[in-house]
Parts: sequence; structure tokens; C-alpha cells
Amino acid sequence: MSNSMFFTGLSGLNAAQAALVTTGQNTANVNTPGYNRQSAEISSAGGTFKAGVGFFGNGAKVVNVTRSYDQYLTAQFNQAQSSNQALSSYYTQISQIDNLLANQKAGLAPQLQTFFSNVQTVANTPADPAARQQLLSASEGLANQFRTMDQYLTSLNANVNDQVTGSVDQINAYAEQIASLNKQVAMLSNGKQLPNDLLDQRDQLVNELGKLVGTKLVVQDGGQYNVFIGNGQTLVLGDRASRLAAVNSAADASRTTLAVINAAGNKVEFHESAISGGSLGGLLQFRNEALTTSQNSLGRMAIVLAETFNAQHKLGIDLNGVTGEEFFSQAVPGVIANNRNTGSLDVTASFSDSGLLTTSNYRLDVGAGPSFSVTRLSDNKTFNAADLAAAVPPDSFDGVRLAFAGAAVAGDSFLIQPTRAGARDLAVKLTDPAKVAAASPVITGNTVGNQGSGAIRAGSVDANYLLTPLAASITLTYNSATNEWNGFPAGAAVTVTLANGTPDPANPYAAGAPVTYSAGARMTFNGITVTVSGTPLNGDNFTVAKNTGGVSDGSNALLLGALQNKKSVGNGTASFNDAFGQLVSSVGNKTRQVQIADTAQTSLTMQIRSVQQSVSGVNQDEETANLLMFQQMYQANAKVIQTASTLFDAILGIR
Amino acid sequence: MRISTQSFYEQSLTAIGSQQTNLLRVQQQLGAGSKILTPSDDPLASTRALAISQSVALGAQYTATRAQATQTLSMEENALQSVTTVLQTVKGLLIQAGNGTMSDADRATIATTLQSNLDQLQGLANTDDGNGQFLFAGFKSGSAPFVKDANGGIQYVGDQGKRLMQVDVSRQMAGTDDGRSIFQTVQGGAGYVSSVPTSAPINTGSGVFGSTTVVNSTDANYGRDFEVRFLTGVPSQYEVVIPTPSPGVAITLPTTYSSGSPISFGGLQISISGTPVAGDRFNVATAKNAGTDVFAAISDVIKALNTNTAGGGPEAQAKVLNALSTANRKITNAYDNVLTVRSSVGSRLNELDALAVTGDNRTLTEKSFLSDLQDLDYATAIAEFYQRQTALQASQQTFVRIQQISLFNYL
Repeated sequence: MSNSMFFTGLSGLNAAQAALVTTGQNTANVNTPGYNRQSAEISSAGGTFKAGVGFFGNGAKVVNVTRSYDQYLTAQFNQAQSSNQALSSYYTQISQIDNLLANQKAGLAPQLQTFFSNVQTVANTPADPAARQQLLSASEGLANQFRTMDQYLTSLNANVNDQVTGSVDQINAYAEQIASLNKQVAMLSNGKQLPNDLLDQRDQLVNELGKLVGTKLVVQDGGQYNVFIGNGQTLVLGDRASRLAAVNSAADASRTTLAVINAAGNKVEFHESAISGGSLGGLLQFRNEALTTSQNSLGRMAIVLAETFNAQHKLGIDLNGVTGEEFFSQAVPGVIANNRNTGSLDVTASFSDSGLLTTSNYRLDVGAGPSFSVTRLSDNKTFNAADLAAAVPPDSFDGVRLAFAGAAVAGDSFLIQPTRAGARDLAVKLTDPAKVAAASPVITGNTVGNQGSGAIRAGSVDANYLLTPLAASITLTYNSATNEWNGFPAGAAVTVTLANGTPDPANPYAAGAPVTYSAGARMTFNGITVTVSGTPLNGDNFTVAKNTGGVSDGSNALLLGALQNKKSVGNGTASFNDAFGQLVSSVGNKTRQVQIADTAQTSLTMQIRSVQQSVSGVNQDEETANLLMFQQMYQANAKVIQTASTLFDAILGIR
Repeated sequence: MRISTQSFYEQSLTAIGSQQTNLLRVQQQLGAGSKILTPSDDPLASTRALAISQSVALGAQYTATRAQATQTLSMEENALQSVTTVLQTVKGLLIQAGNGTMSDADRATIATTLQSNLDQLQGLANTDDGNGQFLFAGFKSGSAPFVKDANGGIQYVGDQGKRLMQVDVSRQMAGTDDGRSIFQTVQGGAGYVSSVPTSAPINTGSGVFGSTTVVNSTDANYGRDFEVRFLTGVPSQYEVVIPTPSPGVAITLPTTYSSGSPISFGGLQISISGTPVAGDRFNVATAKNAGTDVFAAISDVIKALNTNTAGGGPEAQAKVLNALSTANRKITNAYDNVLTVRSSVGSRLNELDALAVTGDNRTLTEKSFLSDLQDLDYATAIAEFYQRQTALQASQQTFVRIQQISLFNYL
């Protein structure tokens, strides 16, 4: 009997020791990431039947050490954390653009204002070389600002590339570790008793992987973890891990993207849209949404500014009376051939109308035939061959015109980036202040002997003037008998727009024919528009002459200055400032949106985490209490043994 | 629910971290004096602020342009004021020269004075803006607009360009006027100018014309040029002819001349006294056709005053008197024209003042709106700062307190 008491006490002692060890393990790992609380499972060791008496218990035994682990909570936590990481990395990136646009006193808007204010100064004092020099300096400042901002965005892109590369290395490392743990777990598991700490490690790796990229976890029978990413691409299958690689995108080599190395050793690019979650998912989403749009919309502003300013500048004449040159040099649309293309087709793009440009990129696909279709990537609108052919000029879409050379092979594709390089390539071409074309090429006037009160307004010119510049001055003579003007150039038809804006029913007046007078009507010939108002008398003359020596003429500079408020961006919807406002607004809103989503997701993750931790986490006080409890259990069992010993001694003492 | 020790620390730190972030944000706002640190803080206000700051910048641009316009217009006003003074002096001298008691020498003295006035006038017409740009040259401001030609006459070599400036959103204003419209133009309402031919055949009689008055401006022929031609015959007769196109059409029958009695034609009335002889002509031309150049008018009268009359009899006297009358009329017309230009300059200056007032008001409104959009309300911000500070302190203190509670304390 006392023999059994010894063993019962001993079993209790052992059980208490096992529980103490487990408590010690828990206490030691109170701060270990991914650790799941363990507990020793103690059960009664059964009883021994004593005939006529009944069953006597045999003490306690430790049957297993288990971890407090809830697969579903853990999966939920991993999922939440993955989304949270995606939002945080998106937010980190986009807030850099947000910060770039934050400075109102040193950003693009004040540079634009300074630039146009200097144009106005030239209009006020065209003969002042200092004003002209200042305009050149201000335009350098403006172009520089565009380039600096573009450079910043380009460096964000480079940054994203680096992070993608870094993430790929880490993903590969995690995948290999998970595969190797799968192997070890399989070896060490006996079906009932599990290697808890290895399982913890593996769960922790899955969690870390989820922080990098969204994954799908499938637990096989036998406890093997199979991990998939993207559209079901296997990353870990049992004890085998696939390898990913960071490659330059076939469509756009400036971007690093993800590929998987297949069995043949080839790198197969992922569809970026398939990758979501984790910091990598956030990065790719940032790059495709915010970065591209921001860079393109800056580029578009730069292109439209250069195009409209140049066009007006070329209509003026400079201090030396020479027709204006290009003020800014600007980008050409980028066309990148997919490096998997097999044909020899060479595509070049140019701007047909910068006012129609969007901030999207486009993809040109070659179909059977060959036929061409263009897809606007922002909304997947497709311009098919018929759309392109019907456009004016042909093969143009959204302000871009394409030209083809070489043999097209169906299946080839090209990425067209109309505005990407716009801000990068904006530069001031003009270096000589005297070459600022502030003056109008024509000057109007009357002759001394005019009798009537008719007056001619300053003439204006449009792009057609450049084709037929005024060779000699012309004199318009009024004939009161017929109410007509004579003297228009022999070779030029005249188009008249009446003062109320309607076209003259007699339009167009044939070349050399007299033109009926209507007060305030705009008479246009050879790209020159003149307006006479008042009451001319018979024989009154008005002259339209080449402007020579007109150093104080700032009329073209006035027209250049008027571009500031002209809605020339986005199909006549926005001025330069509006366009910049749109960029600020879209980045600001997106940043705010991501920030709010991130905050919400963080708190959600925290909540799930605390629920998961309430199951699996270690509470120090609890462990301390357990320590006391098991210590006392140990002491009590020792007392049992002591008692047994005392009983035994009592027997021995009978002599 | 079990609180894991790990998540207790994590959550406490997160709470403190977010309190610190909030506090730092208010601190940054206070440092920058702005509610909006980045566009994401308030995308709508940021965009509005951009638009308004552009308006403010435009306002500043217009203000600068108005200052420039005011400067050139004031210079023009100063120059024109001197011009009116000179023209008044010239008119005074002409009246003085008409005094019958004047000797040739006296008139020569006046002619000398007139010459210096003419030079002065030319100088004023060639006023520059202080930067070597001539005010009255139109666009061709690089060189003096009024130059002496080979014959000593003064020519305008500028052009008629209007130097427009953008002085307000939709207002372009000429900052100067060209020389031709100031010195070589007369107003539409300027009176008729009477004269005698200055080139052969010149008048040989001693007829002197008086002033021309308009009696009926609705007359069919009113507004045309006329010529009073003296015919052969005794007593002498004249007829009134519309001279262009040559040889002219008589609009009156030959009429007997009576010294000093009014002659009426085409709604005008003129008196001629003295003794004209056959072949003498008196031109009565509209101001526009009579020659509108003030320099030429003064040059002509200087030439006439320098002509010796001694021994020439009443005929020579008549020449001088007629030349003086013509010049007087022309200079009066020119003077009126300069006054008109001056008043246009004055009204432009007034308009600039008015535009400045509305522009300043607009800018003020915009600036206050801009300030509402982005400037920080310090009282609110400081209150918020203390609130956040208290919250942070509370988080920290409770963390420390709870962290201290452990079972070990009681073992």
C-alpha cells in the first residue's frame, strides 16, 4: 500500500515538474513573436483494482504538451495584417508625393505665377532688356521645377523597384524556410504529439510572408502548409519551394516586376493586378495608380505649356523683327516595344493636338491582318482600327498620332506613354533675351487725310499667317458708294465675322473682290484679322503693314500672358493652374483615403490580434499563478512521499 | 478575456504612439501657422487655395501693370501739360505779332521767340521715359519720333502702334499715345481754317480775311472745302468754288465784292476786307484738309513773320496778317486736340485709380478667403494642443501604473 503511495506521489511530482517546465517555457517566451502558449496535459493514471475493495488511483501522468492555437483566428489575423501592410506601404509611398505637392510657396504653382507675371512685365515694357532677361530666368525656373518634380517621382519609381527586388529575396527565403519546416514537421510529428515550437516558427514565417505579399494558405492532411500567391501560383508545396525573381517588365523596362522561375528555368512575369496584399501589393498598386498618374499629369501640363506657348511665340516677332522661334523644347511621346515582340514593326508617336491629351498610358496591340487597336489603360477604352482610321488626322487618338514602319506580327504590343517624359524633357530653348517675340508681326494704321471717324484696331494673326507672311503693306480704301473695302491682297480670300459673332452670309469673299463694310466686323485674310469700326468716309485709307522697329510692341506678349487663364489642358477643361489643382486634389484625396483605410485596418488588425492573443498569448500573471500552483503541487506531492516514508519508517521502527 | 502580456505592451505602445503623432501634428500646425500641412489634410481646401492664390498672383500682376501704366501716363500727362503751355505761349505771340504797330524788326524778334518755342515743342514731342524709350513714338520707341527733314520741316517717323497693357482681368489700356495723334491730328469738330495760297500763284491784292463762322451746319455743302476766287472786272467780283476735283465747281454766281461785308456759302460766313485783285484766292478748308501738323503751322508763320514788309505796302501787310490768322486757327485746333488727348490721359489715370480700388478690394477678399482656408486658428490649435498633451500624459501614466501591477509585488 505504501509502495503505491510512493509511486502516486512520484507521479504527482513528475506531473508538477512537467507543468512547471511548461510554465517556465511560457514565461521564457512571454515576448517571443509567434509563440503560442503551451500547456502540459495531465490526466489521471488510472487505478489498480483491489479485490473486494475497489480501484485505487495510480496518480497522475503527463500525456501531451499542447499549444493554444486557433487556426482560423491566426488565418484571420494574417489576412488582416497583410491588408494592413498593403495600405501602410501605399500610404508611405503616396504621402511622399503628397509632401512634394505640399509646399505652396516653393511648388509648381508659384513658379507658374512668376513665369506668367514676367510675361506680363515684358508685355508692359517690351523694350526693356531686363524684363526680357527676367522672363528667361523665370522660364528656366519653371522648367527646372517641372524637371525636379519629375526627378522626384522617377526616384520614387526607382525606390519601388529596389523594394520589389528586396521583397523578392525575402519571399524566396521565407518560402524555403517554410518548405524546410514542412519537412521537419513531417519527420517529427507522430500524429498526436506535435513539435509545437516548429509549428510556431512555421506559422510565424507564414505571417511574415503575408506582411510582404498576400498569400493563400492551404493546410494539407498531415499538417503540411501549401502556400500560393497571385492567381494560385504555387510558392510552397510540401517540402518544395518555388523561386521568384525580380525582372524588368517586358512592357516597360523602367519597372521592376515579379516573375516566377518555372521548371525550365524561364522567368514568367506575373500579372501585377493578380498581386495584392502585403507591402509588395501596396507598392505595385501605388505604382500603377498614383505614381503613373502623377507623373503623367505633370508631363501633360509641361507638354501643353510648351506647345501652346511655342505656338503663340512663333506668331510674334522679336526685337530684331524676326519671327519667333520655339521658346521651350519639349518631349515626344514615348513608345516602348514589348521585348517579347517578334515582328520588326517600328512605331513612332507624335502629338496631333496637345489639348486632347489625357494622363493615361496606352497599349497598342497588333491583331491578325495585321490590324491595330489601341487601349487606354486608365479605363480600358479601346480604339479599334476603324476609330483610328476615322480620326483626324488618321491613326490618332486622344491627341497622339502614330506612324508605322516595318512588318507587324499579330500578337506584338507596344506601350505608349504620351505624357510620361513631358516634365522630364521640358527645357527652355531660347537663350537670347532679344529673341523673345513680344511684338505682333503686323501693325495697323490710318493715313493722314482720312475724313471719317473710322478707326482700325490692332491686327492679330493666327497660324495661317506663317504660311503667307505679309510681303508688302496693304492699304484698304473705303468706297462709300458701294459701302465696300478695296485693296485686299490679290491672292487672298477674305472671311468676315460680323460684330455679333456670326459669319457674314457673303463669306468667303473671293480673292481680289471688294469686301462689304460692317462696323466692328473681323476681316480675316492670309491669317491676319483686322477690324474697322466707326464711320469711314469715301476714300479713307487704312493700312496693314509689317511691324518694323516696333520695339515697344508687347501685343504678342499680351497674348502669351493670356495663356495663363486659357483652358488649354484636357480638351479645354482646365488652365495650367487648374490642371495642377487636379493633380493636387487627386493625390490629396487618394492619400487621405488610403490614410483613413490604413487607420481603420490597423485598428481592425489590432482587435483581431488581441483576440488571437487572448487564445494563444502568454499572460505573465497567469504564468506566475501557475508557477505557484504547480510549485505547491510539487511540494504537496513531496509531502505525500514524505508521508509514505514516515509510514515506512514507522513500520521499520517496530522492533 | 485573457490579455496576453505581449499584446498589453503592444497596445499601450500603439496608443502612446498615436497620441504622440496627434500631438506632433498640432505642433507642426502651430509651427507652420497653417491647418493644411499637406494636400491630404484637406484636398478640397488645398485645391481651392491653389486657385485663389493664382487669383491673388494675377491681382498682384495687374497692380504692377497699373503702376507701370500710371507711370507712363503720368509722364505723358506732364509732357502734354508743357505742350499746352507752349501752345498758349505761341498763341499769345501770334496775337502780339498781329498788332499793326509792329515793325519788321519786332516781328523778327517774335519769330525768333516762336522758333525757340517750336524747338521746345519738338523736344517735348520727343520726350523719353527715362530709359531711352520715346513716349510718343508708337511701337518704334527706339528712336526719336519727330525728326527734321532736309527742308527743315519736322517729320513723324514713329508708327501708330498702341502700347496696350493688361490693367485688369478684361481691360487692356493704352499706356501712351502715338505722336501723330497728338501733334498731327485735329479733332472731328475742329473749325474751318482759312488761308491764302503760299505757293504761286500767290495773292497780289491786299485782301485780308476775317474769322470764319458757322451759320448753318445742315447746309448741303457744309463740310466741304471752298475757295473764294476773285474775278476780272470792275467793280471786282468773286465767286465761291468747290475746288476739288479740279478745276472746281462754282456754287455761287459772280458777286460784287464789298470790303468787310460778309460772304455766305455752304453754311459758313466769312468777311474779307481790303482790296483783293483778280486772280486772288481765299481758301476755306476743313481743319483736316488744311494741314493738321502743328509743327508745320508754326514753321509757316515763322517764315511769314521773317518776311520784310517795309515798302511792300498794304499787300505785304495783308500777307502777314493772313498768315497769322491761319496759324492762329491751326494752333487753336492743335491746342484743342492736345487738350482732348490730355483729358483722355486724365480719364485713363482716373480709371486706373478706380481699377486699383476694386482690384485691391478683390485681393483683400481673396486673401481673407485664402486665410480662412488654410491659416490656423491659434486659439483652437493651442486648446487642441493642451488636450492632446493631456491625453498623451494620461496614456503614459496609466501605462506606467498598470505595468507596475504584477503578482510579483505580493510574493
